[in-house]
Amino acid sequence: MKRFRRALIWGFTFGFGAIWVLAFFLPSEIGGGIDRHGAFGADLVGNRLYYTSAVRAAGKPFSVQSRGTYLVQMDLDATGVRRKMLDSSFFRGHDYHGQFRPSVFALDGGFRAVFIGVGNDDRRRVCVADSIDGTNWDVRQNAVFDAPEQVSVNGPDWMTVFDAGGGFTMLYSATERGRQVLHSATSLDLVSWSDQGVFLRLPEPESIMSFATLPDGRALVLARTESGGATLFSGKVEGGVLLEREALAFPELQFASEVVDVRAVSDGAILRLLLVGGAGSDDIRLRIGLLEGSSLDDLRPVAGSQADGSIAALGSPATSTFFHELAGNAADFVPTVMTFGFGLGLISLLVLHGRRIGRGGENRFYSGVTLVALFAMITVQIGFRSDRESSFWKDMNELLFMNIQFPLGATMFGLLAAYLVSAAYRAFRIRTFDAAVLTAMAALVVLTQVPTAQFIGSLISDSAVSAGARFDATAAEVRTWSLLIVNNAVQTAVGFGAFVGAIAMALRIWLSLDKTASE
Amino acid sequence: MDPSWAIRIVALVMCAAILYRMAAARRGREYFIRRIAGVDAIEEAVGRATEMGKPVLFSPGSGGLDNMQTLAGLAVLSWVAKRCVQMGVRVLVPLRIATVVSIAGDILREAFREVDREEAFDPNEVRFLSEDQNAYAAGTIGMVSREGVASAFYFGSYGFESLLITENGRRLGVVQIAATADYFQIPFFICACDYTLIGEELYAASAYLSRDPVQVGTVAGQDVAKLVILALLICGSLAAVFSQSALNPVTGILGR
Repeated sequence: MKRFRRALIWGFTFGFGAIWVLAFFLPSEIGGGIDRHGAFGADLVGNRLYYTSAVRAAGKPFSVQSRGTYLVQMDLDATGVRRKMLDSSFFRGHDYHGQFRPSVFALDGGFRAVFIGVGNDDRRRVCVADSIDGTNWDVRQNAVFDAPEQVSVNGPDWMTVFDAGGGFTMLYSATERGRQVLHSATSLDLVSWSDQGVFLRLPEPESIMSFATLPDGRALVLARTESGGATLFSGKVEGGVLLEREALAFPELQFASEVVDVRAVSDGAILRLLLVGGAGSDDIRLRIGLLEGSSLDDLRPVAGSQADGSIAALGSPATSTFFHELAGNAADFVPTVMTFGFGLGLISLLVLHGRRIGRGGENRFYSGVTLVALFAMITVQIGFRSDRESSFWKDMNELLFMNIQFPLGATMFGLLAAYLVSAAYRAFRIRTFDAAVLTAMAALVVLTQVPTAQFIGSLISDSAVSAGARFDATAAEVRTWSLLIVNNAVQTAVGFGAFVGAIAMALRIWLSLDKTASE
Repeated sequence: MDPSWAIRIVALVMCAAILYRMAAARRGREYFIRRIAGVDAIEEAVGRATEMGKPVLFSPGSGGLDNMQTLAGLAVLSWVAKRCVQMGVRVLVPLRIATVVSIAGDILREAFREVDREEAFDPNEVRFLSEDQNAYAAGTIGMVSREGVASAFYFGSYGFESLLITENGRRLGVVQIAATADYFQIPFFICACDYTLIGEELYAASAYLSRDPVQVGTVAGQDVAKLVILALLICGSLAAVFSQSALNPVTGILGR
């Protein structure tokens, strides 16, 4: 019986753990088309479509992710063959985690593609790849443009490049007061870029989602309004603002009930528009449509488009997502166990305090208060959640949670300040060399938070103020170095040790290698 | 999103190293574990409680059973409980997570069973206090002061309650030993406790105490895994330095 019980526990632990181990080690998906999760961020050169796809994103509908993205190229002919444009390389740090939004140009002697790379530091930078035949690409080692951090903290998540005649102009997104505006940069060769500052900002709170230049020099702007909806309009950009603004109706397309991106491709007298959108909650994948016509009012899907208006059907879904789905379902088991566990905790609480009250003694009063508080909280919560409109339950909920529990918690937390001071006082008494170094660093970090030397200088003379400011600047650099370099190195070292220890512990538990107490 | 193949391979190598050393230790090979002053002090702390005739307090932290630190803490509790039962010392276990109640209770019961004194086990020594951090801290502080605890052990994952609990313990003259891998709580423990085990030492503590071959093998395996990480760090640093240079032998050898 004992052996059977042990085998049962071992089998359950091993089987349950194996689901996650396999989900980690095996690819989440096997098979499927290259763009099975959607297509966005497209450009068209001749008959070849360059666009972005991505590995599964746990995002919301119509979300355009940056990490895990890759570029795809497809010929718009009967074959419809698509292939990956670039491969990530460990030795190319600037596009290691993703590549998206390509802008491709046919130059003398080949092609050049400009795209956003997601680096191994998760920062987005503009990268360049070259090709002789437009099919086989060679990515440059380092990024060619890095947006200033003060306008774009993690780098732009939207970018387009167009030929401005005599040079190229890049427009990239930047964040300003919580909305998206456009900045520009210029280049003669698509490699050396010069930042030009703000290109276009819409009146607040409108945010620019996408921008395209039309052959007549006007601009096509897709903006997000305060309500969260997207609007499309044309206008003329002058001095960083949009003039002659004219609202446009979205083309009626089955695949794009919500449009998220637009790009104009001029082809002589014909206007071609690449439109990216999604259809609804049933299928969250983004698709690309190619419309053409003589003007904005006369756009239709090009011949050969799908019935829903998109340019090509997305690749077939993956044949296997088995272990990831199984792990997701198995994870639902955990809250169930937790709920039972909470019941056990409640029983433990009731038995302990109930016995103490029954047995008598000096602490029974506190046990009584605990049980009364427990039942009062449960009763009020049940009452309040059953009838949220009742003023009685509302007042009781307010009294118990906001006026009693919350201030009590805040009082405990407030004690922390006093304890911090007393603990710091003990830690920084200089008795050993180590304590001296610790105290010196602590004093430096604390004192350089404010311009101490500048203040002391102001008490002496005017010239001492500037000397003090110089000292403060140097001391602040030392502080930053110690926090970012020394402290981070130690933190990482502790983290590595703990991480390896946790893996070893997990292995022991998973394989039931620990001796049970009965052995 | 899938982890990269590089991460999968590193994880596989580390797991293989740990399992190999575990198997070797089981076959009888002996590995050396360096002395950890904090772990040596556990025995002294239990001895102090015995001499004073007062209970010890063991907290496995604020984490749940999905937290490896809690499991490491419970492994140490197993040893401490056995030693305390042998010495006739009460062990109080305040808990913040309800799912830990039954496991901690079982560990304590087994300790009594080992010395054939199961009837002396009192399930009320394992107490679920509250899931709220502040209430848990207040409850533990109350327990330490009301029960007149002689020694206290804090082995597991903690939040800000670490300082609230241990600073009070220090004022009451309790001998305190803490172990955590939560980086931001380590300074608090160092300031307020007599001994502090940092990071991986928490996982090594039960191996050091029990000398169980599997656990000792695990610690020895961790050393190999750390060597792998160290080698990768050095290679990565070199690659990063050279990849910024025009003379880049790494990309030259391996191709782009």
